Amino acid sequence: MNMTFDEQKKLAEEVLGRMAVRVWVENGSVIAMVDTRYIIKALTDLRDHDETQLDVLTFMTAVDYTPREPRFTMVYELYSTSLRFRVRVQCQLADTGNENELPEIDSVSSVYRTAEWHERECYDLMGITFTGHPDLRRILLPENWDGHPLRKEYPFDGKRTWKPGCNVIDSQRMEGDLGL
Amino acid sequence: MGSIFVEEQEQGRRMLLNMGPQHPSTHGVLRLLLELSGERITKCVPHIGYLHTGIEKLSEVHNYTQNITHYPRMDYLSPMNNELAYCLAVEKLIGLEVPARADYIRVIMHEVTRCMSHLFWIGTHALDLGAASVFLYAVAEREKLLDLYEMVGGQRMMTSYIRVGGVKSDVPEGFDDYTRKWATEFPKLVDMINGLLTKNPIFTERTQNIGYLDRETCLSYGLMGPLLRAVGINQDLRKDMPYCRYDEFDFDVQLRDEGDVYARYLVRMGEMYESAKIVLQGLDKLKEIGPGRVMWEDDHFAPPKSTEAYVDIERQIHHFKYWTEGFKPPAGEAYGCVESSKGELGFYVVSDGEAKPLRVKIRGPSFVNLAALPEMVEGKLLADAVACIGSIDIVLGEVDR
Repeated sequence: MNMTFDEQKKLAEEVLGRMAVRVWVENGSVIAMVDTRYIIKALTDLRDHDETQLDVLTFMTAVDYTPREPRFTMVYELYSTSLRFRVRVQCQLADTGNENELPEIDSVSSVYRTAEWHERECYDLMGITFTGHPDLRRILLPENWDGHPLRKEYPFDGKRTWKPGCNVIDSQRMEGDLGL
Repeated sequence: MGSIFVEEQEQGRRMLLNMGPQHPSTHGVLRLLLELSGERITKCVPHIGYLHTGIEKLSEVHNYTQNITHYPRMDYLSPMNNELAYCLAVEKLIGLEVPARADYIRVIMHEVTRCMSHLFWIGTHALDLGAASVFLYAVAEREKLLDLYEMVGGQRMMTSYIRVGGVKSDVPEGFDDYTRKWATEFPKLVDMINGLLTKNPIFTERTQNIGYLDRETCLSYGLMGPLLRAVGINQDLRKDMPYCRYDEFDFDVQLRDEGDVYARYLVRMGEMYESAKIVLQGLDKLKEIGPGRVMWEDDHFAPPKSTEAYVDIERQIHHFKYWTEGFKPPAGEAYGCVESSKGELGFYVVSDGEAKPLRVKIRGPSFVNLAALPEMVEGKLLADAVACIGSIDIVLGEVDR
Protein backbone atom coordinates (compact mmCIF):
# COMPACT_ATOMS: atom_id res chain seq x y z
CA MET A 1 0.00 0.00 0.00
CA ASN A 2 1.45 3.34 -0.83
CA MET A 3 -1.41 5.47 0.45
CA THR A 4 -1.88 6.19 4.12
CA PHE A 5 -5.14 5.23 5.79
CA ASP A 6 -6.27 8.85 5.88
CA GLU A 7 -5.72 9.22 2.15
CA GLN A 8 -7.67 6.04 1.49
CA LYS A 9 -10.48 7.26 3.72
CA LYS A 10 -10.65 10.57 1.87
CA LEU A 11 -10.66 8.76 -1.46
CA ALA A 12 -13.56 6.56 -0.39
CA GLU A 13 -15.50 9.56 0.89
CA GLU A 14 -14.89 11.42 -2.35
CA VAL A 15 -16.00 8.58 -4.60
CA LEU A 16 -19.04 7.63 -2.57
CA GLY A 17 -20.23 11.17 -1.98
CA ARG A 18 -23.64 11.31 -0.39
CA MET A 19 -24.20 7.55 -0.54
CA ALA A 20 -21.83 7.07 2.37
CA VAL A 21 -23.33 7.42 5.82
CA ARG A 22 -20.01 7.13 7.63
CA VAL A 23 -16.41 6.32 6.67
CA TRP A 24 -13.87 5.35 9.31
CA VAL A 25 -10.64 3.43 9.84
CA GLU A 26 -10.68 0.44 12.17
CA ASN A 27 -8.01 -2.14 12.93
CA GLY A 28 -6.14 -1.57 9.71
CA SER A 29 -9.07 -1.22 7.30
CA VAL A 30 -11.07 1.60 5.80
CA ILE A 31 -14.77 0.91 6.32
CA ALA A 32 -17.57 2.78 4.60
CA MET A 33 -21.16 2.44 5.74
CA VAL A 34 -23.46 3.18 2.79
CA ASP A 35 -27.17 3.56 2.39
CA THR A 36 -28.65 0.16 1.57
CA ARG A 37 -30.70 1.43 -1.35
CA TYR A 38 -27.59 2.53 -3.24
CA ILE A 39 -25.40 -0.52 -2.74
CA ILE A 40 -25.20 -1.42 -6.44
CA LYS A 41 -24.30 2.12 -7.45
CA ALA A 42 -21.75 2.42 -4.64
CA LEU A 43 -19.93 -0.74 -5.67
CA THR A 44 -20.07 0.12 -9.35
CA ASP A 45 -18.59 3.55 -8.68
CA LEU A 46 -15.83 2.14 -6.52
CA ARG A 47 -14.99 -0.39 -9.21
CA ASP A 48 -15.00 1.95 -12.18
CA HIS A 49 -13.56 5.16 -10.76
CA ASP A 50 -10.00 5.79 -11.94
CA GLU A 51 -8.62 6.63 -8.56
CA THR A 52 -9.96 3.61 -6.72
CA GLN A 53 -10.06 0.79 -9.33
CA LEU A 54 -11.37 -1.69 -6.78
CA ASP A 55 -11.70 -4.51 -9.24
CA VAL A 56 -11.98 -7.56 -6.98
CA LEU A 57 -14.77 -8.39 -4.53
CA THR A 58 -12.80 -10.42 -2.03
CA PHE A 59 -15.82 -11.61 -0.09
CA MET A 60 -19.36 -10.74 0.81
CA THR A 61 -21.15 -11.78 3.93
CA ALA A 62 -23.73 -10.83 6.53
CA VAL A 63 -23.34 -10.47 10.27
CA ASP A 64 -26.25 -11.07 12.61
CA TYR A 65 -26.22 -8.49 15.36
CA THR A 66 -29.30 -9.70 17.29
CA PRO A 67 -30.82 -7.99 19.27
CA ARG A 68 -29.70 -4.78 17.61
CA GLU A 69 -32.12 -3.14 15.15
CA PRO A 70 -31.42 -3.22 12.14
CA ARG A 71 -30.42 -6.81 12.59
CA PHE A 72 -28.07 -7.57 9.75
CA THR A 73 -24.98 -5.82 8.48
CA MET A 74 -23.94 -6.78 4.96
CA VAL A 75 -20.21 -6.60 4.45
CA TYR A 76 -18.47 -6.30 1.08
CA GLU A 77 -14.69 -6.32 1.06
CA LEU A 78 -13.13 -4.79 -2.06
CA TYR A 79 -9.53 -5.00 -3.16
CA SER A 80 -7.64 -3.24 -5.91
CA THR A 81 -5.00 -5.33 -7.64
CA SER A 82 -3.51 -2.31 -9.39
CA LEU A 83 -3.48 0.23 -6.57
CA ARG A 84 -3.10 -2.36 -3.81
CA PHE A 85 -5.48 -1.24 -1.14
CA ARG A 86 -8.70 -2.43 0.44
CA VAL A 87 -12.01 -0.85 1.28
CA ARG A 88 -14.77 -2.52 3.21
CA VAL A 89 -18.30 -1.43 2.34
CA GLN A 90 -21.06 -2.15 4.80
CA CYS A 91 -24.78 -1.59 4.78
CA GLN A 92 -27.46 -2.41 7.27
CA LEU A 93 -30.48 -4.52 6.63
CA ALA A 94 -33.47 -4.86 8.89
CA ASP A 95 -35.25 -8.15 9.42
CA THR A 96 -38.91 -8.38 8.46
CA GLY A 97 -41.08 -8.73 11.52
CA ASN A 98 -42.70 -11.79 9.96
CA GLU A 99 -41.11 -15.17 10.58
CA ASN A 100 -42.05 -16.55 7.17
CA GLU A 101 -40.67 -13.68 5.14
CA LEU A 102 -36.97 -13.20 4.50
CA PRO A 103 -35.34 -9.76 4.27
CA GLU A 104 -34.39 -8.56 0.80
CA ILE A 105 -31.52 -6.60 -0.64
CA ASP A 106 -30.28 -5.93 -4.16
CA SER A 107 -27.88 -8.44 -5.62
CA VAL A 108 -24.47 -7.18 -6.71
CA SER A 109 -23.81 -10.11 -9.01
CA SER A 110 -24.19 -7.76 -11.97
CA VAL A 111 -21.20 -5.79 -10.69
CA TYR A 112 -18.96 -8.68 -9.64
CA ARG A 113 -19.60 -12.22 -10.82
CA THR A 114 -18.08 -13.72 -7.73
CA ALA A 115 -21.02 -12.40 -5.73
CA GLU A 116 -23.20 -15.12 -7.23
CA TRP A 117 -21.80 -17.81 -4.99
CA HIS A 118 -21.27 -15.56 -1.99
CA GLU A 119 -24.90 -14.44 -2.11
CA ARG A 120 -26.09 -18.00 -2.46
CA GLU A 121 -24.15 -18.86 0.67
CA CYS A 122 -25.64 -15.84 2.45
CA TYR A 123 -29.14 -16.91 1.47
CA ASP A 124 -28.42 -20.46 2.55
CA LEU A 125 -26.92 -19.76 5.94
CA MET A 126 -28.45 -16.41 6.91
CA GLY A 127 -31.74 -16.34 5.06
CA ILE A 128 -31.37 -13.09 3.15
CA THR A 129 -32.81 -12.93 -0.36
CA PHE A 130 -31.13 -11.02 -3.16
CA THR A 131 -33.32 -9.46 -5.83
CA GLY A 132 -31.87 -9.78 -9.29
CA HIS A 133 -29.73 -12.80 -8.54
CA PRO A 134 -29.67 -15.20 -11.53
CA ASP A 135 -29.84 -18.44 -9.56
CA LEU A 136 -30.68 -18.08 -5.89
CA ARG A 137 -30.75 -21.48 -4.22
CA ARG A 138 -29.00 -23.22 -1.39
CA ILE A 139 -25.37 -24.01 -1.95
CA LEU A 140 -23.86 -25.68 1.11
CA LEU A 141 -26.87 -27.31 2.71
CA PRO A 142 -29.22 -29.78 1.01
CA GLU A 143 -32.12 -28.23 -0.87
CA ASN A 144 -34.68 -29.45 1.62
CA TRP A 145 -33.04 -28.01 4.76
CA ASP A 146 -35.29 -26.17 7.18
CA GLY A 147 -33.98 -22.95 8.62
CA HIS A 148 -30.92 -20.80 8.25
CA PRO A 149 -28.18 -22.00 10.59
CA LEU A 150 -25.95 -18.96 11.00
CA ARG A 151 -28.76 -16.91 12.50
CA LYS A 152 -28.36 -16.47 16.21
CA GLU A 153 -31.59 -18.24 17.16
CA TYR A 154 -30.57 -21.45 15.38
CA PRO A 155 -29.00 -23.76 17.97
CA PHE A 156 -25.47 -24.83 17.12
CA ASP A 157 -26.19 -28.51 17.74
CA GLY A 158 -29.13 -28.55 15.36
CA LYS A 159 -32.86 -28.17 15.54
CA ARG A 160 -34.76 -31.14 16.89
CA THR A 161 -37.93 -30.57 14.87
CA TRP A 162 -38.28 -29.42 11.30
CA LYS A 163 -41.28 -28.08 9.44
CA PRO A 164 -43.55 -31.00 8.62
CA GLY A 165 -42.92 -32.61 5.25
CA CYS A 166 -39.65 -30.90 4.37
CA ASN A 167 -37.47 -33.96 4.93
CA VAL A 168 -39.03 -35.75 1.99
CA ILE A 169 -36.70 -35.41 -0.96
CA ASP A 170 -38.52 -35.29 -4.25
CA SER A 171 -35.55 -36.46 -6.27
CA GLN A 172 -37.31 -36.56 -9.60
CA ARG A 173 -38.26 -32.93 -9.32
CA MET A 174 -35.00 -31.78 -7.80
CA GLU A 175 -32.47 -33.69 -9.83
CA GLY A 176 -34.13 -34.53 -13.10
CA ASP A 177 -34.47 -30.92 -14.13
CA LEU A 178 -31.64 -29.82 -16.39
CA GLY A 179 -31.86 -26.39 -14.84
CA LEU A 180 -30.16 -27.75 -11.75
CA MET B 1 -19.91 -42.59 -12.47
CA GLY B 2 -23.42 -42.71 -11.02
CA SER B 3 -26.75 -42.34 -12.74
CA ILE B 4 -26.96 -41.43 -16.41
CA PHE B 5 -30.06 -39.80 -17.91
CA VAL B 6 -30.62 -39.84 -21.63
CA GLU B 7 -32.90 -37.15 -22.93
CA GLU B 8 -33.85 -36.51 -26.52
CA GLN B 9 -33.88 -32.90 -27.68
CA GLU B 10 -34.69 -31.38 -31.08
CA GLN B 11 -31.12 -31.15 -32.33
CA GLY B 12 -28.78 -33.93 -31.39
CA ARG B 13 -28.90 -35.79 -28.12
CA ARG B 14 -27.82 -34.42 -24.78
CA MET B 15 -26.72 -36.65 -21.97
CA LEU B 16 -26.73 -35.76 -18.31
CA LEU B 17 -23.64 -37.16 -16.67
CA ASN B 18 -23.13 -37.08 -12.94
CA MET B 19 -19.44 -36.77 -12.11
CA GLY B 20 -20.40 -37.75 -8.67
CA PRO B 21 -19.14 -36.84 -5.23
CA GLN B 22 -17.11 -40.03 -5.18
CA HIS B 23 -14.66 -39.65 -8.00
CA PRO B 24 -10.90 -39.95 -8.03
CA SER B 25 -10.40 -36.85 -10.14
CA THR B 26 -12.58 -34.34 -8.40
CA HIS B 27 -10.12 -34.03 -5.51
CA GLY B 28 -12.64 -34.54 -2.82
CA VAL B 29 -16.40 -34.66 -2.58
CA LEU B 30 -17.32 -32.39 -5.44
CA ARG B 31 -20.28 -33.24 -7.60
CA LEU B 32 -20.44 -31.92 -11.15
CA LEU B 33 -23.63 -32.25 -13.13
CA LEU B 34 -22.48 -32.22 -16.73
CA GLU B 35 -24.75 -31.99 -19.70
CA LEU B 36 -22.90 -33.51 -22.62
CA SER B 37 -23.46 -33.38 -26.30
CA GLY B 38 -21.18 -36.18 -27.47
CA GLU B 39 -17.88 -35.40 -25.78
CA ARG B 40 -18.49 -31.67 -25.43
CA ILE B 41 -19.77 -30.21 -22.22
CA THR B 42 -22.67 -27.86 -22.86
CA LYS B 43 -23.52 -27.12 -19.26
CA CYS B 44 -21.70 -27.70 -15.99
CA VAL B 45 -23.29 -27.21 -12.59
CA PRO B 46 -21.13 -27.83 -9.54
CA HIS B 47 -22.85 -29.06 -6.40
CA ILE B 48 -20.93 -28.59 -3.21
CA GLY B 49 -21.70 -28.94 0.46
CA TYR B 50 -20.84 -32.59 0.96
CA LEU B 51 -18.10 -31.65 3.41
CA HIS B 52 -19.90 -28.79 5.16
CA THR B 53 -19.12 -29.02 8.86
CA GLY B 54 -20.43 -25.67 10.04
CA ILE B 55 -17.08 -24.27 11.10
CA GLU B 56 -18.41 -20.72 11.07
CA LYS B 57 -21.23 -21.61 13.44
CA LEU B 58 -18.90 -23.62 15.66
CA SER B 59 -16.54 -20.67 15.88
CA GLU B 60 -19.26 -18.73 17.65
CA VAL B 61 -19.43 -21.17 20.56
CA HIS B 62 -15.75 -21.64 21.21
CA ASN B 63 -13.31 -19.05 22.47
CA TYR B 64 -10.54 -17.55 20.40
CA THR B 65 -7.85 -20.05 21.34
CA GLN B 66 -10.12 -23.05 20.91
CA ASN B 67 -11.07 -21.81 17.44
CA ILE B 68 -7.51 -22.33 16.26
CA THR B 69 -8.16 -26.06 16.32
CA HIS B 70 -11.01 -25.73 13.80
CA TYR B 71 -9.11 -24.03 11.03
CA PRO B 72 -6.26 -26.35 10.08
CA ARG B 73 -8.96 -28.90 9.32
CA MET B 74 -10.43 -26.63 6.71
CA ASP B 75 -7.74 -26.66 4.07
CA TYR B 76 -6.25 -29.87 5.29
CA LEU B 77 -3.40 -29.98 2.79
CA SER B 78 -1.85 -26.75 4.04
CA PRO B 79 -2.84 -26.63 7.69
CA MET B 80 -0.66 -23.90 9.09
CA ASN B 81 -1.76 -21.36 6.48
CA ASN B 82 -5.23 -21.32 7.93
CA GLU B 83 -4.04 -20.88 11.50
CA LEU B 84 -1.78 -18.06 10.39
CA ALA B 85 -4.57 -16.15 8.66
CA TYR B 86 -6.86 -16.44 11.67
CA CYS B 87 -4.14 -15.37 14.09
CA LEU B 88 -3.33 -12.36 11.91
CA ALA B 89 -6.98 -11.29 12.03
CA VAL B 90 -7.26 -11.63 15.81
CA GLU B 91 -3.96 -9.88 16.33
CA LYS B 92 -5.23 -6.96 14.26
CA LEU B 93 -8.36 -6.90 16.40
CA ILE B 94 -6.38 -6.67 19.61
CA GLY B 95 -3.52 -4.61 18.25
CA LEU B 96 -0.78 -7.06 19.17
CA GLU B 97 2.70 -7.02 17.81
CA VAL B 98 4.33 -10.33 17.33
CA PRO B 99 8.02 -10.67 18.29
CA ALA B 100 10.46 -10.97 15.39
CA ARG B 101 11.52 -14.51 16.18
CA ALA B 102 7.94 -15.72 16.04
CA ASP B 103 7.45 -13.93 12.72
CA TYR B 104 10.42 -15.67 11.14
CA ILE B 105 9.28 -19.05 12.40
CA ARG B 106 5.84 -18.29 10.97
CA VAL B 107 7.33 -17.37 7.61
CA ILE B 108 9.34 -20.59 7.47
CA MET B 109 6.32 -22.71 8.35
CA HIS B 110 4.16 -20.75 5.90
CA GLU B 111 6.53 -21.49 3.02
CA VAL B 112 6.93 -25.10 4.08
CA THR B 113 3.15 -25.38 4.04
CA ARG B 114 3.01 -23.87 0.59
CA CYS B 115 5.46 -26.51 -0.63
CA MET B 116 3.40 -29.25 1.00
CA SER B 117 0.29 -28.06 -0.73
CA HIS B 118 1.93 -27.65 -4.12
CA LEU B 119 3.59 -31.07 -3.91
CA PHE B 120 0.27 -32.73 -3.32
CA TRP B 121 -1.28 -30.65 -6.06
CA ILE B 122 1.32 -31.65 -8.67
CA GLY B 123 1.09 -35.27 -7.60
CA THR B 124 -2.67 -35.50 -8.02
CA HIS B 125 -2.83 -33.24 -11.09
CA ALA B 126 -0.25 -35.32 -12.94
CA LEU B 127 -1.96 -38.50 -11.77
CA ASP B 128 -5.26 -37.33 -13.23
CA LEU B 129 -3.58 -36.65 -16.55
CA GLY B 130 -1.86 -40.02 -16.60
CA ALA B 131 1.62 -39.37 -15.23
CA ALA B 132 1.32 -41.73 -12.30
CA SER B 133 4.96 -41.79 -11.24
CA VAL B 134 5.06 -38.11 -10.24
CA PHE B 135 2.56 -38.78 -7.47
CA LEU B 136 4.85 -41.10 -5.56
CA TYR B 137 7.85 -38.78 -5.70
CA ALA B 138 5.80 -35.77 -4.64
CA VAL B 139 4.10 -37.53 -1.75
CA ALA B 140 7.36 -39.07 -0.56
CA GLU B 141 8.88 -35.61 -0.41
CA ARG B 142 5.84 -34.42 1.46
CA GLU B 143 6.56 -37.04 4.12
CA LYS B 144 9.74 -35.16 4.99
CA LEU B 145 7.70 -32.03 5.56
CA LEU B 146 5.20 -33.90 7.70
CA ASP B 147 8.14 -35.02 9.82
CA LEU B 148 9.10 -31.37 10.13
CA TYR B 149 5.60 -30.50 11.29
CA GLU B 150 5.78 -33.26 13.87
CA MET B 151 9.11 -31.97 15.12
CA VAL B 152 7.81 -28.44 15.51
CA GLY B 153 4.17 -28.83 16.43
CA GLY B 154 3.81 -32.30 17.81
CA GLN B 155 1.40 -33.56 15.14
CA ARG B 156 1.83 -34.47 11.51
CA MET B 157 -0.93 -32.27 10.19
CA MET B 158 -3.29 -30.37 12.47
CA THR B 159 -0.73 -28.84 14.71
CA SER B 160 -2.41 -25.72 16.20
CA TYR B 161 1.13 -24.45 16.47
CA ILE B 162 0.57 -20.87 15.39
CA ARG B 163 -1.25 -19.08 18.19
CA VAL B 164 -2.57 -15.57 18.71
CA GLY B 165 0.46 -13.52 19.67
CA GLY B 166 3.14 -15.72 18.19
CA VAL B 167 3.76 -19.42 18.09
CA LYS B 168 3.12 -21.96 20.79
CA SER B 169 6.73 -22.73 21.66
CA ASP B 170 10.17 -22.24 20.23
CA VAL B 171 11.54 -24.56 17.58
CA PRO B 172 13.42 -27.59 18.95
CA GLU B 173 17.11 -28.28 18.50
CA GLY B 174 17.88 -29.89 15.20
CA PHE B 175 15.23 -27.81 13.41
CA ASP B 176 17.85 -25.68 11.72
CA ASP B 177 19.90 -28.64 10.43
CA TYR B 178 16.89 -30.60 9.23
CA THR B 179 15.19 -27.71 7.48
CA ARG B 180 18.38 -26.43 5.91
CA LYS B 181 19.14 -29.88 4.55
CA TRP B 182 15.64 -30.18 3.16
CA ALA B 183 15.66 -26.72 1.61
CA THR B 184 18.97 -27.25 -0.18
CA GLU B 185 17.89 -30.58 -1.63
CA PHE B 186 14.34 -29.63 -2.51
CA PRO B 187 15.12 -27.79 -5.78
CA LYS B 188 16.61 -31.01 -7.15
CA LEU B 189 13.32 -32.80 -6.63
CA VAL B 190 11.42 -30.00 -8.32
CA ASP B 191 13.94 -30.24 -11.18
CA MET B 192 13.13 -33.91 -11.47
CA ILE B 193 9.39 -33.28 -11.64
CA ASN B 194 10.07 -30.53 -14.17
CA GLY B 195 12.08 -32.98 -16.22
CA LEU B 196 9.22 -35.45 -16.18
CA LEU B 197 6.45 -33.05 -17.09
CA THR B 198 7.36 -29.66 -18.49
CA LYS B 199 8.53 -30.68 -21.95
CA ASN B 200 6.59 -33.91 -22.01
CA PRO B 201 4.52 -33.85 -25.24
CA ILE B 202 1.60 -35.71 -23.69
CA PHE B 203 1.46 -33.30 -20.76
CA THR B 204 1.71 -30.21 -22.96
CA GLU B 205 -0.96 -31.54 -25.32
CA ARG B 206 -3.31 -31.99 -22.42
CA THR B 207 -2.63 -28.71 -20.70
CA GLN B 208 -1.80 -26.02 -23.27
CA ASN B 209 -4.69 -23.82 -24.44
CA ILE B 210 -7.02 -25.55 -22.00
CA GLY B 211 -9.15 -23.74 -19.46
CA TYR B 212 -8.31 -20.23 -20.61
CA LEU B 213 -9.81 -17.30 -18.72
CA ASP B 214 -9.07 -13.74 -19.70
CA ARG B 215 -8.14 -10.97 -17.29
CA GLU B 216 -11.53 -9.30 -16.90
CA THR B 217 -13.24 -12.61 -16.22
CA CYS B 218 -10.61 -13.56 -13.66
CA LEU B 219 -10.99 -10.27 -11.81
CA SER B 220 -14.77 -10.39 -11.94
CA TYR B 221 -14.76 -13.88 -10.51
CA GLY B 222 -12.49 -12.71 -7.70
CA LEU B 223 -9.80 -15.26 -8.45
CA MET B 224 -6.52 -14.56 -6.75
CA GLY B 225 -3.24 -16.33 -6.30
CA PRO B 226 -1.68 -18.54 -8.97
CA LEU B 227 -4.75 -18.25 -11.20
CA LEU B 228 -4.33 -14.50 -11.46
CA ARG B 229 -0.57 -14.65 -11.81
CA ALA B 230 -0.99 -17.05 -14.72
CA VAL B 231 -2.90 -14.34 -16.63
CA GLY B 232 -0.19 -11.77 -16.11
CA ILE B 233 -1.56 -9.71 -13.24
CA ASN B 234 1.21 -9.05 -10.73
CA GLN B 235 -0.61 -9.84 -7.54
CA ASP B 236 1.00 -11.48 -4.54
CA LEU B 237 -0.12 -10.57 -1.04
CA ARG B 238 3.34 -11.22 0.29
CA LYS B 239 4.62 -8.33 -1.77
CA ASP B 240 1.55 -6.10 -2.08
CA MET B 241 0.41 -6.05 1.55
CA PRO B 242 3.24 -7.72 3.44
CA TYR B 243 2.50 -9.54 6.66
CA CYS B 244 4.85 -11.28 9.10
CA ARG B 245 7.81 -9.15 8.02
CA TYR B 246 7.74 -10.45 4.45
CA ASP B 247 9.19 -7.15 3.23
CA GLU B 248 12.54 -8.28 4.68
CA PHE B 249 12.64 -11.33 2.43
CA ASP B 250 13.88 -11.45 -1.13
CA PHE B 251 11.94 -13.49 -3.68
CA ASP B 252 10.35 -13.16 -7.13
CA VAL B 253 6.71 -13.27 -8.09
CA GLN B 254 6.07 -15.88 -10.78
CA LEU B 255 4.13 -14.45 -13.70
CA ARG B 256 2.91 -15.94 -16.95
CA ASP B 257 0.78 -14.60 -19.75
CA GLU B 258 -1.13 -17.41 -21.31
CA GLY B 259 -3.76 -18.05 -18.64
CA ASP B 260 -4.22 -21.72 -19.44
CA VAL B 261 -3.64 -24.85 -17.38
CA TYR B 262 0.00 -25.03 -18.47
CA ALA B 263 0.69 -21.46 -17.32
CA ARG B 264 -0.81 -22.22 -13.90
CA TYR B 265 1.39 -25.28 -13.69
CA LEU B 266 4.50 -23.24 -14.46
CA VAL B 267 3.55 -20.57 -11.91
CA ARG B 268 3.17 -23.12 -9.12
CA MET B 269 6.39 -24.91 -10.00
CA GLY B 270 8.21 -21.57 -9.90
CA GLU B 271 6.66 -20.85 -6.51
CA MET B 272 8.16 -24.02 -5.12
CA TYR B 273 11.66 -22.87 -6.00
CA GLU B 274 11.02 -19.48 -4.44
CA SER B 275 9.68 -21.07 -1.26
CA ALA B 276 12.90 -22.99 -0.76
CA LYS B 277 14.82 -19.72 -1.12
CA ILE B 278 12.62 -18.00 1.45
CA VAL B 279 13.03 -20.87 3.92
CA LEU B 280 16.81 -20.60 3.73
CA GLN B 281 16.64 -16.83 4.26
CA GLY B 282 14.33 -17.37 7.21
CA LEU B 283 16.69 -19.83 8.81
CA ASP B 284 19.55 -17.35 8.45
CA LYS B 285 17.46 -14.63 10.06
CA LEU B 286 16.53 -16.94 12.93
CA LYS B 287 20.19 -17.65 13.56
CA GLU B 288 20.99 -13.95 13.39
CA ILE B 289 18.32 -12.89 15.83
CA GLY B 290 19.28 -15.50 18.38
CA PRO B 291 17.08 -17.00 21.09
CA GLY B 292 14.22 -14.87 22.36
CA ARG B 293 10.50 -14.75 23.07
CA VAL B 294 8.16 -16.37 20.60
CA MET B 295 4.96 -15.08 22.12
CA TRP B 296 3.62 -11.64 22.89
CA GLU B 297 4.35 -10.52 26.43
CA ASP B 298 0.99 -9.19 27.59
CA ASP B 299 -0.44 -11.61 30.09
CA HIS B 300 -4.01 -10.85 29.17
CA PHE B 301 -3.82 -12.20 25.64
CA ALA B 302 -1.05 -14.75 25.92
CA PRO B 303 -0.60 -17.67 28.30
CA PRO B 304 2.05 -16.84 30.89
CA LYS B 305 5.01 -19.16 31.19
CA SER B 306 4.34 -21.86 33.75
CA THR B 307 7.52 -21.11 35.67
CA GLU B 308 6.38 -17.54 36.21
CA ALA B 309 2.78 -18.52 36.87
CA TYR B 310 3.69 -20.65 39.85
CA VAL B 311 5.57 -17.82 41.53
CA ASP B 312 3.28 -14.83 41.14
CA ILE B 313 -0.41 -14.75 42.18
CA GLU B 314 -1.38 -12.28 39.46
CA ARG B 315 0.09 -14.49 36.75
CA GLN B 316 -1.65 -17.44 38.36
CA ILE B 317 -4.96 -15.61 37.91
CA HIS B 318 -4.15 -14.77 34.29
CA HIS B 319 -3.20 -18.37 33.64
CA PHE B 320 -6.53 -19.53 35.06
CA LYS B 321 -8.57 -16.97 33.16
CA TYR B 322 -6.76 -17.59 29.90
CA TRP B 323 -7.27 -21.33 29.91
CA THR B 324 -10.81 -21.43 31.26
CA GLU B 325 -12.62 -18.45 29.84
CA GLY B 326 -10.20 -17.22 27.23
CA PHE B 327 -9.10 -13.70 26.46
CA LYS B 328 -11.53 -10.94 25.52
CA PRO B 329 -10.46 -8.73 22.65
CA PRO B 330 -11.98 -5.27 22.38
CA ALA B 331 -15.20 -4.95 20.38
CA GLY B 332 -14.68 -4.37 16.67
CA GLU B 333 -13.91 -6.17 13.47
CA ALA B 334 -10.79 -7.06 11.54
CA TYR B 335 -9.81 -8.88 8.37
CA GLY B 336 -6.57 -10.81 8.23
CA CYS B 337 -5.40 -12.51 5.08
CA VAL B 338 -2.46 -14.50 3.79
CA GLU B 339 -1.26 -15.57 0.38
CA SER B 340 -2.15 -19.22 0.70
CA SER B 341 -1.11 -21.77 -1.89
CA LYS B 342 -4.51 -21.46 -3.54
CA GLY B 343 -5.10 -17.72 -3.42
CA GLU B 344 -6.07 -15.25 -0.77
CA LEU B 345 -7.18 -16.94 2.41
CA GLY B 346 -8.81 -14.48 4.75
CA PHE B 347 -10.61 -14.40 8.07
CA TYR B 348 -13.10 -11.68 8.93
CA VAL B 349 -13.51 -11.69 12.69
CA VAL B 350 -16.16 -9.64 14.47
CA SER B 351 -15.91 -9.28 18.22
CA ASP B 352 -18.37 -7.87 20.72
CA GLY B 353 -15.98 -7.84 23.65
CA GLU B 354 -16.76 -11.37 24.83
CA ALA B 355 -14.46 -14.37 25.00
CA LYS B 356 -16.19 -15.95 21.97
CA PRO B 357 -16.27 -14.23 18.59
CA LEU B 358 -19.56 -12.83 17.34
CA ARG B 359 -18.89 -13.93 13.78
CA VAL B 360 -16.03 -15.50 11.91
CA LYS B 361 -16.32 -15.42 8.14
CA ILE B 362 -13.79 -17.46 6.26
CA ARG B 363 -12.88 -16.36 2.77
CA GLY B 364 -11.74 -19.61 1.28
CA PRO B 365 -9.92 -19.29 -2.04
CA SER B 366 -11.09 -22.68 -3.27
CA PHE B 367 -14.75 -21.65 -2.82
CA VAL B 368 -14.23 -18.57 -4.93
CA ASN B 369 -12.06 -20.29 -7.55
CA LEU B 370 -14.53 -23.11 -8.02
CA ALA B 371 -17.22 -20.67 -9.15
CA ALA B 372 -15.12 -20.04 -12.26
CA LEU B 373 -15.09 -23.72 -13.24
CA PRO B 374 -18.29 -23.70 -15.38
CA GLU B 375 -16.88 -20.78 -17.34
CA MET B 376 -13.66 -22.65 -18.03
CA VAL B 377 -15.26 -25.90 -18.96
CA GLU B 378 -18.39 -25.18 -20.99
CA GLY B 379 -17.90 -25.86 -24.66
CA LYS B 380 -14.84 -27.99 -24.08
CA LEU B 381 -14.22 -31.71 -24.02
CA LEU B 382 -14.90 -33.84 -20.99
CA ALA B 383 -11.26 -34.82 -20.59
CA ASP B 384 -10.34 -31.15 -20.35
CA ALA B 385 -12.66 -30.75 -17.37
CA VAL B 386 -10.39 -33.04 -15.40
CA ALA B 387 -7.36 -30.93 -16.30
CA CYS B 388 -9.22 -27.73 -15.34
CA ILE B 389 -10.30 -29.04 -11.95
CA GLY B 390 -6.73 -29.99 -11.24
CA SER B 391 -5.41 -26.61 -12.30
CA ILE B 392 -7.70 -24.72 -9.95
CA ASP B 393 -6.29 -26.76 -7.07
CA ILE B 394 -9.39 -27.07 -4.94
CA VAL B 395 -9.56 -28.59 -1.52
CA LEU B 396 -13.13 -29.39 -0.61
CA GLY B 397 -12.61 -28.73 3.07
CA GLU B 398 -12.08 -25.08 2.23
CA VAL B 399 -14.91 -24.94 -0.31
CA ASP B 400 -17.47 -26.30 2.08
CA ARG B 401 -16.04 -25.36 5.47
